[in-house]
Order: sequence, then structure tokens, then C-alpha cells
Amino acid sequence: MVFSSLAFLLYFFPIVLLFYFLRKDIKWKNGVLLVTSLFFYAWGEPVWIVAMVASTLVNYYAARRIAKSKKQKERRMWMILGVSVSAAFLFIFKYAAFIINSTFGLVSPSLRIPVLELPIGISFYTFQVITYTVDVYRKKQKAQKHFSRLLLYVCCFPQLIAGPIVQYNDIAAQLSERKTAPDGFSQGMERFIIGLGKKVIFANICGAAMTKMPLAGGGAALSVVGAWYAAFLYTLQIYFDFSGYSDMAIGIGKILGFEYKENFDHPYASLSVREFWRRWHISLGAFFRDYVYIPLGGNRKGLMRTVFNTLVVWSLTGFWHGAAWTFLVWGAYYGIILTIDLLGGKKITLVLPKPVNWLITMVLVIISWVIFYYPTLGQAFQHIGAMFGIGAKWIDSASLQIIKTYSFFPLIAFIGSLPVGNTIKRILGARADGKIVNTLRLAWMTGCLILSIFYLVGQSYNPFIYFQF
Amino acid sequence: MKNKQAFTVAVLWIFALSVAGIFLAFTSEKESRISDAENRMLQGFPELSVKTIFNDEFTTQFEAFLADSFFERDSVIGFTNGILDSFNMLSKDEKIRIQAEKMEKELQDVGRFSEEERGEDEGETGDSVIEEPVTDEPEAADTAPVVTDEPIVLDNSDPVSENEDDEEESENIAIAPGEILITDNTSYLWHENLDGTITIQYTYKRSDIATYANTLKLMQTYLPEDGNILFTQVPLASIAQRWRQQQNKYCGWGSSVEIMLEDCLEGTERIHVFSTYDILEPYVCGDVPMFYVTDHHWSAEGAYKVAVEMFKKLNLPIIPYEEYNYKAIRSKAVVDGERDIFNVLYPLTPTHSYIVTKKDKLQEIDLMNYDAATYRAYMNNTRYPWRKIVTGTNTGRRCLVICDSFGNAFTPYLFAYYDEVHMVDFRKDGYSKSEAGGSIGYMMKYHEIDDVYIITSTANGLRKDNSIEYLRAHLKG
Repeated sequence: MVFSSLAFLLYFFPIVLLFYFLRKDIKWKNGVLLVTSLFFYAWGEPVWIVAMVASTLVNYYAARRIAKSKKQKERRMWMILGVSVSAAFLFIFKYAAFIINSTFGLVSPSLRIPVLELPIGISFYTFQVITYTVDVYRKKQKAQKHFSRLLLYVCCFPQLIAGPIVQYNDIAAQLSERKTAPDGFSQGMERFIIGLGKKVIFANICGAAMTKMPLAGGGAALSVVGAWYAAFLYTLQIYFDFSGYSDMAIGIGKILGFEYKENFDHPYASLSVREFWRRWHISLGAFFRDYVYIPLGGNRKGLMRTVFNTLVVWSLTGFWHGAAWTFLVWGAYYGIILTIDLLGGKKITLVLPKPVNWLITMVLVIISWVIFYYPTLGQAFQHIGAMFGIGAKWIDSASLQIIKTYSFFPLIAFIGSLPVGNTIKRILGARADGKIVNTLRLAWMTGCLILSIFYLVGQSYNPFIYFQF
Repeated sequence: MKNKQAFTVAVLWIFALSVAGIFLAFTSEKESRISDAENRMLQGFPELSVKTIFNDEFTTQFEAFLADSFFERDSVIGFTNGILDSFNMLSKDEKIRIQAEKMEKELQDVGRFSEEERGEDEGETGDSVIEEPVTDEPEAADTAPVVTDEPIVLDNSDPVSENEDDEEESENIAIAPGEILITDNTSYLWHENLDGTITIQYTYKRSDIATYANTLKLMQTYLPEDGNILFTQVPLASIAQRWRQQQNKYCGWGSSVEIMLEDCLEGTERIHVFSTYDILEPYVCGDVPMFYVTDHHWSAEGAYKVAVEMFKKLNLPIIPYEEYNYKAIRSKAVVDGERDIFNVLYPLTPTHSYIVTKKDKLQEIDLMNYDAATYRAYMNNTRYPWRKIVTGTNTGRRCLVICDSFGNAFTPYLFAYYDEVHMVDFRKDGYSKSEAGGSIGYMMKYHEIDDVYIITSTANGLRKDNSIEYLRAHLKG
């Protein structure tokens, strides 16, 4: 099920809230959440519940054994077992076909294997369950006694399908005790509506414009202007799509008494690629930092090792997004940029004016999204070539028509992707919490909710881009 | 609590969502039906079974069902599109051109389907539906029923790919004035350009038309000896508007599919084929609109002109347009400040209208919807599975109209000539034998139909996946 669907908004969400707030005790609330979360996942993917529960069960058992064991070697073995089983699930579903077909399949087509259907959210919940086992191994957390609570941590519906990747360490206490308050309820609802509007109005309109661009075959018919505009539209679409989902997840979490960490912080306002990745998909960055980069030695073992660690992390980041050469190249692209930054590139950025740094960052990010968008590298490079005038006209009538038709909402989206809200709050000062501003905000939110529902009526099934990961 | 107002409003949001959900559950139309506005089947309540749950069919269709059965769906979509449109920086001409191209693309998509189905023996060489007559059928002049003697050549003087500003997506073919483009195996719909070329909108394959002709012959066997079948195919409004709005570029239109169909019907006397293209051509750019601007249908006036030609063929007396009384309804929709006027006819005699299910189970409904400010006012929109209108006249004859929504503007003109007018909206998946009470042929016999009128748009008419195969399948049985 997706948040931006009428089934969720008109039935699932109100029913969950009704039962959730029926009683105050945490066992009831957890029970309601667990049952509804499993239903949420089963809506469209009933079979794959088995994989999720099995992965959780193995790690539950492994963590229990880690906690009981006194010997470090034994603890380590159980930790490796738990992590390996979860990783194996991910590998089988997501990577096995790609790796086998890219190696043995090249030798003989008969050795190729079919690509399996990817269980929704497997990349997210696998990482979550790994954080649990590793945190128990590191003695940062106690092993969970109740399997149902661990399962709730893994499958809690607000963050189940497309993150944020909630580390067990951040949420463990809230599984056994959390407060729900009217303020949290209203703030959560507002955050949810903001996310819904981001997805349904802005991401989907940018997406609709994208589909009308002449992108077939890597945009062979694109002009320079068209290629940049298409890339710009996708840059906005993916941000509003994914950050909208995160906003909705954080908002629902807040309503239910959970405090999820922020996943985005105006990434398109970044002045460097490094800063961009501190602001984009923060929970994924935190996972790789805490569970890959630092265990590898981080930046404590000399420059070359730091470079190596960086490249490993970015290759994995690319591969996490999907089993395709484009994602690997996309990860390597960022790995190389950050390595250059590490090797002295950031010194150059220090002397450049801020607008120039921002522009360079945005160009690099936009190019990365072109690689990310296409299923093949050839198409991606064709598009990037068109952006720089290789084999492309300056402007084409089809793109011009799209620009004229769809420029207002992307423009508003672009402004909205920058931290203008903070600026407005600063200008309003104490009045930001005043009655008039408060009333206007609520009216605006109400309008946004109604408009989002209206747009949903006219849109067919519109899953989030990050569902595929 | 810091902000009581915010909490109250948040609770109200949830409450409103719940109420909307409950209301939708009780008021939504559970059966699938056709949307005239979107020209597609709306999703009915999906089948609930273990299989549909596990293969994701139920959930996907349920989501679609909620969206498709939402309150005032058309108005909601109109509203949201209006918002998008209000920030659209395209000029009026550009909007009209894009709308026309969109409609034409629908037809070309159908054409592509047809191309894919084309047999190898016909020498299909590529994707373009336009190049075919030139490259594959030069000998056609010898055997085609009506064909130009002049060689047809592609006009490549202004290739589209090299001219960014050219409005046409397709290449043009140069033919002499008055020529009709048809070959042995292919007939066409086209626009005539001022530069002497034509722009083809759609091609028809002879084998498909022959199949359809056989269906009409089969249909005739269900009629009495003096029974007639009258066929026409109506262009979409955008095709007409494109010509009307760009008279500096276009000067006419044409269709040769009717000629091909007549040829395939050779030997039959009571199956009559009418070219709406020919009938309406003199009027398209006139003051009286033959097609609407805010809607993709033809107007009551356009429908009347075609009806008159059909009545003449049957030697029926003609009732002048002015002798009818109409309610003039201004369209709700506005396109660049322009509204349409829907002239919805008041019958000359007391008329009763029914939905028929299970052969003869009647449920009376309003004949017209005089309150609707849309094309749906005509015949109170299409009703399933079978519609029966008892006209109050006494001629001893009954007719059946097999149509899509274009039949709604046309059908009122039949009331004066038939005691009963039956209607069946016949779009893909729109007809249910079990709900209607039998096959089309059976129902024709059962209701003692004398004449059949077939009125469909080019988008729904001679389509391989619709009338050509679907009508035949539902005629028998």
C-alpha cells in the first residue's frame, strides 16, 4: 500500500488511528501497529511477508544467542550468521540474477537466470534488521525479548517500504514506551500533509512532464535545452517523491509517538557534493557511515585507506540502489567526486564564491540523476551528451512545448526545495507562532490535503520511485 | 497542549477522511462503466478471491475503483486540470494544435495496432502508416473501386525532422484536388492541405473492412426483408477543430474507408454506408458548429445533417431542424473563454425511456438530462446494458442504434420515425450478453427491430479490437 492512495487515506489511516488510540497501554498500541503493519505490507505483496518475518526471526534468534554468549568468537559467529542470512535474502532477490547474468550469462545465454520479483522494501528492512543484530553485538542495545516488538521495529508501516532506515539504537526505547500527545498528533498530521502534497502535487506533476519529454532511446531527439530541462524535472521529481515519502513517514511516526530522524535537509541548497550527501537520504548515509565506513577504519588509517573506504562505501551505495550497471556507475561517480574532494578539491571550493560552488554542485547532482534515471549507460550518456550539445540542436519544439506547459509547478518546486521556509520563519519572528499565522497555516494545510486528494482521483497508481529499491 | 486549534483541525481532517471513505463505500457505482469524458472503461468493484489477492489484481483494481468512483470525478479532474491549465503558458493556437494532435495520436495508435496485425503478404515495411501506399501498392489503380490515376508521391520538400517549427508530426502526400486516396488494400482518413498535399490521419486494412462487412451482412439476417442497416463513422471534434482553427493550412478532409466498405458489401441492397466526412465537409468552417470546442463530440446540428441523409435514403419525410424544440444549454467547460451550446431536443411526442436488463426487465429513466451542462445531457448519457425508448409515434417500425457516445446526439432525430428506438452502446467490453438478456442478434429478433443505425466515432468504430471483432462475437449466440 502507498501513503498517496485513496485506500490509505480514506480507510487504512483512519482505521489504524481509531484502534490505536482506543486504549492507552503500549501492548495494545504495539499489537494494533503490528497487525496493521503486516496488513499494510500484505496489500499487494502478501507472499513476501514470509521473507520479512523469516529474516527477522533469524536475527531475533541470533541476537538472543549473542546476548547469552560469553565468548567473543561465538558472539561474532552469531552476528555474522544473522547478518549473512538477511544479506543473503537481499542478494538472492536483488543481485543474484544481475551478477550471474553479467558473468556466466555472457559465456552462454543458457546460463542466464530470470530476474526475480523484488519484495517491496527489502533493501530498507534488511538494513534495519542488520542494525539490530550489530547493535546487540556491539552491546549498544540489549537483545529484544519479545519477537513481536522486534518484528514491529522491522515492519512498522510508516517506515517499512521506503525508509527512512531507522537504526535500532534510535528506536529501541520507543518500542516499549512512547508518548502520544495532541501536539505530536497535529504536528505529525501537518508533516504528513506536507509530504503528501510534495508527492502528489509536485513530484507527480514533474513526473508527468518528464513522461512527455522526448526521452526515448536516451533522448536521441532531445535538444540541449530539452535535455537540461528533462534532467531538471527528474531532479525535482526524485527529491519531492522521496522526501515527500519521508515527510509522511516521519509525520505518521510522530502521530503514533515515534520520533524518526530527519532524512532530508534541503539537499539542493548544498554548496558541495559532500554537503549534498549530508543532506540527502541522511539515514542511508548514517547506515553506511556507522556500519561500513567506520568499521573499515574510516579516516583514521591514512589518506589512501580513507580513499579506499570512500570508494567501497560509494560502490555499495550505488549497488544498494539497484542491480544495474547504471547504479554502479552512479555510485562510482560520487565515489570519484568525493575522492577528488578528499584529495584537495575542497580547497578549491573554499576560494570560489558561494553561488559558483552551488552551481557546480547542482550541475554534478543533476548529471548524476541522469545516470540514475536510465536503465542503460548508453542511454544515460546519450542524454548527458545532449546536455552538452553533442549531436543535439540548441532547442526543439517538443521540449519548448513542455517547458511552456509545465514551468510553473517545477519552478515553485525548485524554490520549495530550497530552505525558504526557514527564511519565512526568520522574517516572521515571534509572529510565526501567532494566532493569525497559525490559522492561515491550517487553512493552507487543509487546502493542500483537499488538492492532493483531488489530484489522486485523476492519477492512476503512482508508486514512489524509491519503492523499487 | 500548546496549540489546541491545530489539534482540533488535525482531528477534523481525520474525521473528514473517514466520512469520505464511508460515504464512498456506500454511494460508489460498483459496476464498471464507460466514461464518456475519458473515453475508457471505469473500474468496477474488483473480484475478491484468493487468486486475485495473491496476484495483486484485487489491490491494484481496488485502488483504481476508488479513484474511478470518487464523487463528482469528472468535476474533480476538471478542477485539477484547470489549475494546471491556468499556469500553462501556451498560446490558444498552440493549445488547439496540441489537443488536435492528441486526438490524432489516438487514431494513429489504433493505426499502429492495425499495422502490427498486418499480414506479411501485404508487404508491410515499416512503422509509418503514411509511406505504405507509395512503396507497396503502386498497382492499386487497376483494381481499386475508386482510385486516383495519378501516381502518388511523397512530398519531402519540407521534412519535419529538419524544421523545428513545423507543426506536423507526419509527412504529407501530394495528390490532385478532388482525388480520393484509396488502394486495393488500404483506405484512409486525411486532412487536405492548402499546399495541395494531404495529411493522413489513419489507415484501414482491407481485410479488416471485409471482416466488418461480413458482420454487417450477418446482422442483416436478423432483420426482416425490408430492414436496413445504416452505417457511418464520425470524426472526433479535434480533427474538425484543427481544420477550423487553421484555415491558413487546411482546406478540407476526406475518407475513403466508406468506399472500401461499400465495395466489400457489393451485392447487398439494404446496407447503406454514409461518409460523415463528405456530408459535413461544407459546414465544418461555417457559423453553425458541427463539432464542439469544449468536448470531443459532434454537435446536435452535425448529427442532424447526417441523420437527414440517412432518412433521405430510406425515403422518410424530413423534419426541418427548426421545427424541433431544443433546450440550449451552455457548456460548463470553457476553452480559452469559449463555451459550447448543447441543443438538447424536446421530443415531439410524449416519450418514455427505459433501461432494459435480462431481455425485458424495464426501469424507467429520464430521456434527457436537461440539467447537465455537458454532452451527457443528450440521451441522459449512455445507459447499460440496453436502452429502450418508447417514442409515442405510430409508424409500426422499430430501430436499434449501435453506437458509442456519438449516438447520443444523433438518436433523438429517430423518435419521429420509429415507435421504439433501442440503443446499445457498443464499445470494447461495454456489452454484456448476460445482463442484456442475449446476444445482439437475439435481442434484435426479440425486440423485432426493423432498421439498425451504426453511429460510432473513428476512435471506436472500425477498430480491429472493437467493432471488427467484438461486434461480430456478440452478434451471434
